[in-house]
Amino acid sequence: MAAQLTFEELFDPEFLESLETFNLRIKRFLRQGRLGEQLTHDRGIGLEFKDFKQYVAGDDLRAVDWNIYRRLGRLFVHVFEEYQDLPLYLLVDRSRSMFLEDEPRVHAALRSALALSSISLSQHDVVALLSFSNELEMHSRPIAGKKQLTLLGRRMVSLTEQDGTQLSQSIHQLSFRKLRPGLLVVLSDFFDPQGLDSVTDSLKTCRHKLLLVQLVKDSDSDPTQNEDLVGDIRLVDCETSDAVDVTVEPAVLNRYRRIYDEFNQRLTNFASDQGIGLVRLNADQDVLDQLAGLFESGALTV
Amino acid sequence: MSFFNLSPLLVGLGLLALAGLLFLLQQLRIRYTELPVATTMFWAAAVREAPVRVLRQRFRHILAYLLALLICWLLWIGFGGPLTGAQRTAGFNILVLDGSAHASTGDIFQQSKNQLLNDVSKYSRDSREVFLSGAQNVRVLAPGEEKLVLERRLEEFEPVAARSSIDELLRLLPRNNSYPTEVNVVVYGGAPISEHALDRLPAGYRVARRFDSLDDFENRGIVALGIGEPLSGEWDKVDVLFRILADGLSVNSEDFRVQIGDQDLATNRLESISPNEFRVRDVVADGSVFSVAIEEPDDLAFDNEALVTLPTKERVSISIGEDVPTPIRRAIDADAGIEIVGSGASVAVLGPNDSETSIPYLRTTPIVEQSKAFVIGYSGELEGMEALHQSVADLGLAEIDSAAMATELNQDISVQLDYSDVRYVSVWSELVSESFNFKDSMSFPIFISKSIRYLANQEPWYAYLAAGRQPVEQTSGSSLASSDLLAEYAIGASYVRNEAGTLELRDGTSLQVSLLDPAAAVRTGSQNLTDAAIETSNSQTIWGIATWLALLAVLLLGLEWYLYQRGLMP
Repeated sequence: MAAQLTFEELFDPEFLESLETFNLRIKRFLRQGRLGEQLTHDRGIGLEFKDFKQYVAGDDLRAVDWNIYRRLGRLFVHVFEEYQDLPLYLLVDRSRSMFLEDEPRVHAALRSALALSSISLSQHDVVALLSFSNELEMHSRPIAGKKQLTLLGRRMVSLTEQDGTQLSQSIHQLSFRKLRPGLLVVLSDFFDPQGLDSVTDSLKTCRHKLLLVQLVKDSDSDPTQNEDLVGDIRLVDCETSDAVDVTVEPAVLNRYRRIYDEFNQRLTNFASDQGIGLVRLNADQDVLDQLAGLFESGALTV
Repeated sequence: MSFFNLSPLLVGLGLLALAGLLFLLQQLRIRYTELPVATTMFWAAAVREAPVRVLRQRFRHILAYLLALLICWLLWIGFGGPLTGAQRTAGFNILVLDGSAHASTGDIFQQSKNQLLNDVSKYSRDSREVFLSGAQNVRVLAPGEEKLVLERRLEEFEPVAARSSIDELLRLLPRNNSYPTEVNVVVYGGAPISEHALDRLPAGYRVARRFDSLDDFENRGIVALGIGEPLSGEWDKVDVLFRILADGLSVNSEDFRVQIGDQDLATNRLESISPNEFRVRDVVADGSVFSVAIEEPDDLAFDNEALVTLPTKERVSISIGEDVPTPIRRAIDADAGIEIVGSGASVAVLGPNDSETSIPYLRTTPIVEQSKAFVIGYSGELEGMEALHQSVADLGLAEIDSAAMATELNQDISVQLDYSDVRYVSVWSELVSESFNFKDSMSFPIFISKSIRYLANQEPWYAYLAAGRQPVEQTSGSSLASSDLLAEYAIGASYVRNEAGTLELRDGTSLQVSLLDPAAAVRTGSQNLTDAAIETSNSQTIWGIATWLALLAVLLLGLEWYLYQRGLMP
């Protein structure tokens, strides 16, 4: 197993400074939020004028446009754009597969989670940190304020590997928690032993807006990059300990690649069909570079 | 290589080593390297779709298959030792290396041996057999044995002073049922092969000569040395005759040296019968060794010396009865080899009225008391007609004019043989009386003399002893071995010594055996045998290629292992 990421390694000031220009937006906002920077579809009491509407009982009298009333004799009120906060739920996969290999996927996952936390907190959103393996765990309730980023960072580096990957069950458990609807970011390799269908089925039931961050490695798509993967090999699943005897040969490699591509394609199709954001981050490459690509215009809209 | 050439310990160790090596290879082949991965679900699906080994599927790894096939073929060819079609149909090959006296000339033997060693590997191991033909025929390489064994076995061998035994080998080979009908016999060396031996070979046997060098052969050799009764008639002496043949040289009496015991023979005693035959008369038969040596060195050393052990002749002591007929008494008196003693006689001579005795005796019996003219009391081991024939020959009865006797006596003259503990000869009194003319014949004193010596049962002596030839046995008086019957039983085939030297008898006496082989002394040229044509495309070449093929297979195995380890092939 790879070395645990230290707080100093994770909480890199330069890395965080580079994120200041990024914004995280959602296309269709969820009601019941608090004031924040996320533009909602609701007409509220913000500063930016949006429209007029006829007065109805209960409207704030301070918004009545008395000039129109003088000219037309009818009551209209000002409608302003409403900005609310966005609850950001970071759900980090802490199964063994995330901690395997020299540059483990969990490093990239945590850096991504920290980046999203930093961006959200800086735009007055609330951030909660959760993790899953066989069980769902909440490490930080939704918190706001940029100063909370340190707390989140410390909670993140304290995440250790655990057995199993039960993403579908964890999503199910999440639905029982009374959380405001928000953006649920799932950072995982999605190698759930129950299969991708189980994962997608559970994600369909989720009432949060979803952003899937798939942590991949170069050797996932091209096993020949793993120098140890030659000859007669007994591959042992790091989570289930299931063993598969493989004679590494071109035909088997080709089949593996095809099956892996199908897996990714199914995940992509699912995200597309469901209007879910899907980001693939290569754990072998620099996270910041990859995030910069995603936030090309300074904002990532889910 | 044949395992018959290794000790059981080495064979056992080899088996263990092979078992260990194969075990290690098995372990290497089936031990998987464990590698933890993030997930195996993709691999499991990939392997399910393409199981590692299934029956009847298209070749997934044609190059790997061809590589393995090539390795197996190379190993099969290498260890199978295939034969060419010509070799398979060429029959069995018997290679005979001449190690007799013929091969001792110069470096003929070494050259023959080298040629043989060069040729033997050209035959397949199972289709050739090698004999060394010296004093005996010895198989020095059995079918299936390696050439290395032959080299080791021939290392210490040098030609011996013996006649060639190839004739005997050719006589025995067809009796071996393990040979096929087609047999090629190749002789390495110039030893002669008799036409008779060649003619007796069955159809399918071919004899050829591979190496025969007769160039510039110069030799003088003693080819005969024998003892005979002296022309002088002296009972205690013998005449010795010897013959020297020369090839490319002349024979002069100055070239050789004659000794009796340790004493050189006086020059005037050597009598030349012919240009190459010499005689020494009246040599005292005292048991010493008579030797002839050619002192000038020549191409063949084995025939430059010949020895013969002289007999030891002793007087026969007899007692003589009062009633012995006068003709017999006169014949005894005339024989210097017989002495009459008062006591201690070994033979008694009795008349019709003399009393019986316990020692062997010669007796005269009236015709009315004995039905046969001659009755022989025989105490030997022969039976029936053989005993009768030998006794008649021993007594010289064959030289008697029995027809004239029968006419004069008007009686049949016949011989009767009785088995008896004591030897005796009983003859009609009338035949040896003064009134009968048998006493005047030349055969009469011979009969008396031989009868007394027959009764005395003196040890025989040998006219000559030549290597590989039947000895000729003699007793004093005449050559008994001139009889075919006696020649057959004289000393027995088992006593034939094939190599020159000293022959030790069971009674402690020793006899000298000489080479005495005219065929070795004078090279008249070998038989009209074809030169053996040895196939140049032969199993040795095949085996040489096979060895390289096996090495190539090992290299390919290494390549396969390298590719396998690098993951470049399954």
